[in-house]
Amino acid sequence: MSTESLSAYQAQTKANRVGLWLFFISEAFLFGGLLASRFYLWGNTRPELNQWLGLAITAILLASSFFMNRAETAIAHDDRQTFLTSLLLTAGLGILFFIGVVGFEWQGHIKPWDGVYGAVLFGMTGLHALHVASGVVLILIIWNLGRKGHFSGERHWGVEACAIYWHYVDVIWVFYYPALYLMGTAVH
Amino acid sequence: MDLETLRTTLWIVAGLLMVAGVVGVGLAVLLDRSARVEEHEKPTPIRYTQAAPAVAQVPAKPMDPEAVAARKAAYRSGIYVFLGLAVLTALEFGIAAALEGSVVFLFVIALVKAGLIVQYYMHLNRAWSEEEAH
Repeated sequence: MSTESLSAYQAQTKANRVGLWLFFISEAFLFGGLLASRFYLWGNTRPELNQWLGLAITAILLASSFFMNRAETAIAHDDRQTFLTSLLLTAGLGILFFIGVVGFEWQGHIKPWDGVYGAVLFGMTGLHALHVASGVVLILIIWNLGRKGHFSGERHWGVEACAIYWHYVDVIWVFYYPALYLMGTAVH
Repeated sequence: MDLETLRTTLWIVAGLLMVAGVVGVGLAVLLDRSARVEEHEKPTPIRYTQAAPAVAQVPAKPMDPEAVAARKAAYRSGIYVFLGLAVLTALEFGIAAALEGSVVFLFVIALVKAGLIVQYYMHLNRAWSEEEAH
């Protein structure tokens, strides 16, 4: 790649990064609003949820973030095999997390129509699960492109953006997990 | 919750997280090793497509020791952050059981965890840094 072309790409990437972070700020208001509603409506209480399930899905999401970081690091160092394998592991763990929330947590004793507890729980986990699902789709698109030879150590903004998005979903859960499962006294 | 139950819970959580950590690190090492073997045995096939002509590059060649060391250090940093997050999650779980879901402590831990992810995984500093613009 010519120096001029690389320089233009780097300038564009810088602008892209700022744009992505602005998008995250707007998303933070959305997720923050739901978090605020949890404290307003639940106060110092919380519904009785399966603690082990909460811990397990949190560990799964943290592990997925680790592999996403590994994938990004790998492509930055032109290590394509590790990049592709790590992406698949990330997507797999993301799917596991989604199944944990929708397939297990949502099948518990609390339903969306169970007053403020149901509404807040399903609102928060539902919006987050939607982001997880879209993140998994993005990861699989990136994996498919990587498999075809796209991206390199010098040019991988697509991978970086996807990784940052995935980590953002993880950061949201870092606040949602204690708010839903750990803070306050279980009453429902 | 009595002290004995708390102790047992903490041990179980610590054990689970340690197993998860060991499995994660083991997988990471295996992946790293297989990648290095691939790299030296056969060049990575690169297909050029119309959709992304700019990805054109020379086939992979064995990396120089400095590049390998830099890559290893980058992988290691990711492992340390993951371990830190795992420990903080265990602490979070333990504190919730011991202090009846103390909001302040749990929120502080969540902030530290978020800080680790934003700084090391999301590379917030790159957004305004003049370097590392790839």
